[in-house]
This record gives sequence, C-alpha cells and structure tokens, in this order.
Amino acid sequence: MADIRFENVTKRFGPVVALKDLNLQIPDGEFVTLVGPSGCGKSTTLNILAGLEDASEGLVYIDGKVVNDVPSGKRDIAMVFQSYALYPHMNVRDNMGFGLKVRGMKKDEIDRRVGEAAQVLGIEVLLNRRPRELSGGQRQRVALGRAITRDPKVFLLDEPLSNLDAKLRTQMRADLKLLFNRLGGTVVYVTHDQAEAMTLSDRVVVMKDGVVQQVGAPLKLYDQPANIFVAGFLGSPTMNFVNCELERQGDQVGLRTEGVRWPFTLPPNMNQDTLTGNRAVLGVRPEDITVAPAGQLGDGSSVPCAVEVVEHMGSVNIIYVSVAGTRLIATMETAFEARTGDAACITINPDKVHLFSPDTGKRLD
Amino acid sequence: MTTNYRLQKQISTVLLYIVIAVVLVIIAFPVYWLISTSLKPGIESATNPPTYIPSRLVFENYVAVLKSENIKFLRNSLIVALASTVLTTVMGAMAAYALSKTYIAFWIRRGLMLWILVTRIFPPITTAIPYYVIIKNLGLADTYAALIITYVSYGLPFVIWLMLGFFQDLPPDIEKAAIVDGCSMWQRFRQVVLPLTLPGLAVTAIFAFIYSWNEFLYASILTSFTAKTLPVVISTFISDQYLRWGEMSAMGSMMIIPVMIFALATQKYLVRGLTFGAVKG
Repeated sequence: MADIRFENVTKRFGPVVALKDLNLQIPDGEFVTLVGPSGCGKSTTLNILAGLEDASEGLVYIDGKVVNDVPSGKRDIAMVFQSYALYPHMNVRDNMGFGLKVRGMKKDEIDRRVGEAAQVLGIEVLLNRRPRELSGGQRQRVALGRAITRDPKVFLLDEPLSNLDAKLRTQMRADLKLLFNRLGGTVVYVTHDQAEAMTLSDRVVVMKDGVVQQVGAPLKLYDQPANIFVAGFLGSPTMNFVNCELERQGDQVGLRTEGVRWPFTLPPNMNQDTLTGNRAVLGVRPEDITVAPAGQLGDGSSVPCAVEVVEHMGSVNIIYVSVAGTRLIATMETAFEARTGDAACITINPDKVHLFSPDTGKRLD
Repeated sequence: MTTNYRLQKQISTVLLYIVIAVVLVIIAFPVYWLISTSLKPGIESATNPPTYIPSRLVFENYVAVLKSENIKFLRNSLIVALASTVLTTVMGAMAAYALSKTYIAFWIRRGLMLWILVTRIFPPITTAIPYYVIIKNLGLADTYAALIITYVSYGLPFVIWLMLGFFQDLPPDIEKAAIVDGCSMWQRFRQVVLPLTLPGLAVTAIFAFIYSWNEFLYASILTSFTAKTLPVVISTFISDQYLRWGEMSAMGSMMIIPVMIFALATQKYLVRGLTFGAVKG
C-alpha cells in the first residue's frame, strides 16, 4: 500500500492541454475515483500515474518517492484496462502469473499466488482456458485477478466495468467494493459513470477539460457541489437549473423567474454576502421537488405547472413538468398518475436548493 | 414470387461456379502445362499443335535433371532461400516494431518509411552493377553470403512495410498491460507481440521465401558455379543451339515443391494473416 501525490502536474499533447496543474493527494488505502466526461483528463492522469505517459510538468509521488523517471514496471502498480487487455495467446493461469514471471519469481510462488487470487475471485475453474473462451464478466474477473496476483502498492482501474451489460455492471460494482474492502489497497479508479463514482469511492475527483472541479466524499459532492458542472454531472436524473432574479426584502432573499415567483426564501444559513448580483442559477435535485395534483395548490408553497411526461420506473416515478415554459424533472417514490397536459403543482424543499453564479458557474453560499 | 427467387438464386449460384472454374483454369493451367510437359516423351513437348494430354507418361526428364550436380544446386537454393527468409523476417519484424512503437517525430518516421520504400522502387537491374562491384570487392563473389545479403536487403522493405501494419493493428492496451507487468521492449516484442503477430510473420516469411527461391537476375550475376541456384540452372536449358523443354519443365515442377511445402506448413497462419485486422478478436 502507498500514498500518491500529484504536484502541479500538467500534460500537453502538442498544443492541447490534456491536464492542467493537477494537485491531488491520495492517502494510503484510499479508494479514489476520477470521474468526468470524455476528454476531461481522467485517463491521462491514470496513465501518468501508471508510467504509460510522461508528465509535461510537475511531479508524481508514490510512497513518498518521485516516480516521474521510474519505469512503469518498477512502480509497483497494477492496472485493469477497459478492454481487459488479456494476452490472447496465454491461458488464464499464465495471464495472471505473467507479471510475476517477468519479475523472475519462482514458479511455485507464482502458482500459489495465482491460486489464491483465483479463489478470491471464484475463477479457479477457468485457469486453463484462453481469454477467447471466456464471457465478458469472466474476462473482467481475470483482469482483476492479474492485478491482485501482483499484490501491488497501488491498483489502477481504467473504466473496468464499461464493457459489461447493465445488470452485470451493477453486480460487479458491488463485487469490486467488497473485494477492495477486503484487500485494502490504494485504488485509483477512472470512470465516466457517476453511479460507479458515488457507490465505490471514499473520495471522488470530478474533472472537466483537464481541470479538477471538486474533490471530496461522494455525498459531500452530491449535497454541496462546487459549481454547476459538478452539480449537473452527479445525480441521475440530473439537477434542474433555472435562471432567476434575486428579490431582496429586508434580510430575506426570494427568487423570481419570468412568469414565476418562487414561493420560498433562501435559507438563513446561506452566506448572503456571496449573493452580490441580481441574478443567480437555481439548482434543485429531482428528488427535492414534489409534484401534486392541481387541487392541492393553494397553501402558498406550491407553484402551478403542467405535466409533460410521467415515466414509471417501478420503484420511482420520473415526472417532467413545465413551469411557465421552464422544464423541471422530479422524481417521486409515491405513485403519481397524470397525462400530458394535466395541470399539477410542485413544491420545492427550500433547504435543499443550490445557487450558482450565472457568470462563473460557482456555488454561491 | 418464391419460385422466381429460387430460380434467380440457382442461376447466380451456377454463374458463380462458372466464374470460379474460369479463374481456377487461368491459375492452374500454367502449372498443369509445366507438369504435363515434364512428363511428355521426347519431342512431344515441342509439337505444333501442342498435345494437351501426354500420349504416355515418361520420367526421363526427371532422371536427367536429378543428377548429382543439380542436387548441389538444389541445396544451394534451399540454403540461400531459407537463410535469407529467416534473416529478412526476423530483422524486418524487429525494425518494423521499433518503427511502430518508438517515439520518433512524425516527419522523421515518414522520411524513414519512404526511404525504406524507395529501395523497392528501383528496377533491380539498375543496381545490379553496383551490387556486383561491391560484392566482388568484398571478396564474396559466388558465395552464399553474396546472395543472402542481396536478398535480405531487397526483402527488408517489403517485410518492414507489411509487418508495420500488423503491429499497428495490435490493440494498444495489450502492450500497455505488458509494460505495467514490467516487460522491457524486447520482452514485450518476444513474449507478447511476436506470438500475436505470427500470422503476419507467416505471410511475410512465405513472400520472402518465394522471392529468394525464384530470384534469377542477381543469382545469375553474383554467382558462377559454387553458389549457383536453381533458377540459374534452369536458364542453362536454353541455348542458341537447343531449348530443352522437357528438362526445364521437370526442374520447374520440382522447384514448386519446396514452396508448396512451405506454404502448406504456414497455411494455417497464412489464411489468418491475410484476413488479420479485418475482424478483431
């Protein structure tokens, strides 16, 4: 196990800056997920840590030592690739033991370690098969097994579940969590799937355009996103954003959108010093909006709306409504029946609203 | 409707077989003609109109060419062809791998690749005299080394260009996995890349073998007796006084055999090699 540190790391590909001034510390034994859309620099970060790419600037530390000039094979890391990257001409046993064989380990010891890893992953019966004879899930396990066999200081996982079907992905997600809880190594996990980031990690690093947007525990990022990008990236369905004007009445601040005066004031604990302008972007998560039939309108906390679509997902209903021309998405566990065009009303939980600067996108509080 | 469709399908199947048959005849006829000529008695091989089927089968031409001197030339051909095939394939594969995987500025790589190809653009005759002078000055005239060096230098560009495609088709993640597993470039090449590009190697090896085996021009210029190869020997059946079709055909027929054995031995890889990259997996 080892801690990892990126110090002012920048990576350029010609004129393109893939990673800009990354500063990140990952303590020993932590499971950190780098998440972001394609081209955000997450895989570049992982490749630099793996030694597959050189940093253009800055220093990378593993276990307190600068590793910029240490070859990949000597960094004591193991990597699981999105494509699994199993050696097609070797059977599972040889695939898993190859890294140890290259390091000159004795055959008995290799066999012992491969056997142990295979047992942990439940793939003992596959040891004599070739990769082409395995299903996607089995290949995934073998790729994990190859990493575990090495017993490295750091595990690097590059979108390891993205080639699996949805059902298997969910199952493997849980298995991965159990596995690394048990192994207890430092893990850097790259994904574009926010659900994987939220469920697996001790901490999540959200990236965009080569720049870290926010680092923190999954729920902290979910509850207190640093900017509109993080707010919109985490959570499914995504957070609703509405451009608003601020209305100040004494100590209280209200919000108005064209045609709607939102029936709540901002929570008093919100740092109103940051609300310097007259405009803000209101962010509300779908689960913080309650939709009710129009008849329940009138207690002063609701806003009238028209139902656009109701999607029944089984355990949850996703309801698309239009409030004075602005579309909002709500999710509710309770049953809600309505047809397109039906009048309804929505209530927003004022303690759960987020405000962002319309100019910088940063959180205002 | 269904009958029409069935009829159309039957017609197109028949047409397909006709086309296949025509192509097969075009490809196989010269081989048939060579073998049948070698088995024709006496002057039957030179009659006009020709006889398509020998009146009787005789092996006198084979007996004539299988004299001890020619066995030596057969051995020469085998040594030269096998040595140059092994050297060309091994060196070409290593050069191609280095070119495809080492970081070289784009324009330098491009320049190198073009330079390598340029040596194939000259008609071989244009460099025949310089080759002869160099080989003679090196004291290598009429040696195996003279032919092997020449064939390797002519074969390398082809092998490099062909193998480059195979190496570039390899999924990059497999090599990255080998790097993370601690392999040096040589270990990667030997233990991971080479086994995965065997089909490509088989294709290049067979082309290199055929080239060296059949090459006539340089063999006739650079050798006189000791290192003479079969294509040069065959040419001696033609002179201003005679044209010995039967013996020439018998030797030609026998010359096909090693290439056929080599092709059959590598056929499994050859088929995969020619379709490599078309379908991943």
